[in-house]
Amino acid sequence: MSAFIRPRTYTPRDATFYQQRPAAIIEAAEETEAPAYPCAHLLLEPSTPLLIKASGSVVFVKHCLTAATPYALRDKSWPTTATAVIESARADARSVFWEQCAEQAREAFEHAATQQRRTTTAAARLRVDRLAAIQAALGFTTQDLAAVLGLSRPQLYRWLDAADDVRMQDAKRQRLAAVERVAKAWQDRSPAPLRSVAHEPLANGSTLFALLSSDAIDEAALRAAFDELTAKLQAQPKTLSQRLADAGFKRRPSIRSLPSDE
Amino acid sequence: MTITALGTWRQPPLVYVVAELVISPYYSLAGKVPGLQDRLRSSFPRTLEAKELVVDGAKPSAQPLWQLMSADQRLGVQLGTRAISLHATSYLQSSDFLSRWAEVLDAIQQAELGAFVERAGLRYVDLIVPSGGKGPGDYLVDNLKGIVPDGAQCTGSMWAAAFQFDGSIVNLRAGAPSPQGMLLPPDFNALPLAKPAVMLEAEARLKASQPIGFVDTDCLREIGRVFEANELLDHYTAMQKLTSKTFKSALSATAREEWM
Repeated sequence: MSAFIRPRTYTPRDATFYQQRPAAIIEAAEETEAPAYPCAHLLLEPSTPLLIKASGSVVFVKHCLTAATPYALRDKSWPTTATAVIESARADARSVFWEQCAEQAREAFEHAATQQRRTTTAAARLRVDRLAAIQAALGFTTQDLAAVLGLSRPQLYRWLDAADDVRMQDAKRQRLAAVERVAKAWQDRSPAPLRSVAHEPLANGSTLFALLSSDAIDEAALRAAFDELTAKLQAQPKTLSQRLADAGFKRRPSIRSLPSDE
Repeated sequence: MTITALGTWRQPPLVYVVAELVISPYYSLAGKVPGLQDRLRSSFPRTLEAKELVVDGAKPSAQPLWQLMSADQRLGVQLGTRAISLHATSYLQSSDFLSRWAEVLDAIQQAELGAFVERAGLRYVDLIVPSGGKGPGDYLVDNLKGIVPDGAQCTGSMWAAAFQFDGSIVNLRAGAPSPQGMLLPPDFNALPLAKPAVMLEAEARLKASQPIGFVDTDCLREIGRVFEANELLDHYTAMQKLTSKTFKSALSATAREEWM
C-alpha cells in the first residue's frame, strides 16, 4: 500500500465535502514534526490562491475556498499546475474515508520527516549558516561569491543547498575560513555590505574584489585596504539624510514596522 | 592555493581543543565502529586501538577504545563506550572546528547508534609561554594571581573556579606558573596528536627550567537526551561562545596585546 494519498483533480462541487472533516488531516499533519520547506504560492483557476508547504516528498496543501479551510495532501511529483485533492467518496463511506486519510497523512508526514532528517546533516546546516553570514557581510552576487570562495557557480549552489552533503577539501575549508575572517573584519568596520566598495580603486591600483578573489588571500593586505577605504568613506561629505540623522531627526516608522497585532 | 592566514588572533596560545559527548554506557559500540570508521575514513584514515580502565563501583574493567586520526595527526576522533570526542591540535577558528565536529556528529547519526547523551563538553587548553622577561602571571588579570609572601618565589600556582551560565557550567583553571614540570593541566587525557609550535616552545622552556603557564577552559552542558546531531551542534555553538567569553575575561592587557 502506498504511503501517499492518491491525488485527484479538484472540482468546486467538492467544497462541502472538504469542510466536513478537515481537522483530522490537520491533526495528522501537526502531530508529526515534519519540518516545513519554504512555501510556494500557486494559482488555481479562477485565481484562487493555494499555499503549498512541502515536507520531503509530500506536499501539504492549504486551500482557502470559503470561510472554512479544507486541507489535502498531494504527491510532490504531481504537476504543480494541477490541484491535488483527496479522492471523493460515497456519502455513507465518508467517515471511514476521512479516518483512512488521516492515517495515511500521518504516515506520509512521518516518512517525510524521516527523509528530511536524513538529508539535512549538521555539517551541511552549519556550512549554509556560515555562507549566509559571509554573504550578509559581503553582499556579493552568486558569481562574485563563488570567485571569492574559489568555487564554480554550480559548486557554490551545492554548498548553499543544506540537503547536499558536500565533503569539503582542506584547501576549500581553509579558503572558507579565511573569507569568513575577512567578512568579520569588514563587519567590525562597517555595517554596509562590502559590495559597495569592492570595486573602488585602492592606492596601489588594485581593488578589494581583486584581492579577495586572488589565489592567495592576503589578509594583512585586505585589512589595510579596509582601513584605507573606510577612511576614504569617512572623509566624504555627508549626504542630506546622514546630516538629518546626525541632527536628531528620525524616520517615521513605516506601517511594516508596527507589531502585527496593531 | 596558499593562504597567508593571520588567524583570528595574531599569536594564539591555543594548543589543544576537545569536543566530547559523554554517553550512557554503550557496550555494543564495537559493532558500530566499522560503519563509523568507513564514514570518517576520508578525514581520519588512521586507526589506533586502545583500552581504557573504567572503574565502576568496586570492580575495574577494561573497555575498548578506537582512535581515528587524520593523516597529519593533528585531529583525532576517540570512540569509547562512555564517550565520543574530537581532539585537535590545529585550529583555524571556531566555525571550522565546529564544522569538523558536525561531520563527526553526522557520521554518528548515520551510524544510528541511538546513544543516550548524558553531557556535552568543550575544552580549550592554552599555554602561556612568556616573552621578553615577563612571567606567566603577567598574562592573567590581577584577580587570578594569588599571593607571594615576602622573600618567596612562586614556583607553582593554581587557580580554579566554576561559572554557571544559562544551561552550562564553565570551569576555568589557570596555572601561572604551572607546577614544576607540568605541561598540560592535570586530569587531561590527550590523544597522541602532533604537537603545535606553542607546545614545543613550552616544552623547551620546561626543559630549561623556565616557567610556563596554562589556562584550561572547560564548558559542560547536561543534555539527557538521545543523540541528535543538529540539536547537539546548536549546543556546541552556544558553548563555544561561553568558553571564549570566559577565557577572554581571564586575560590581562599584556596577554591581549601580545596574542590578539
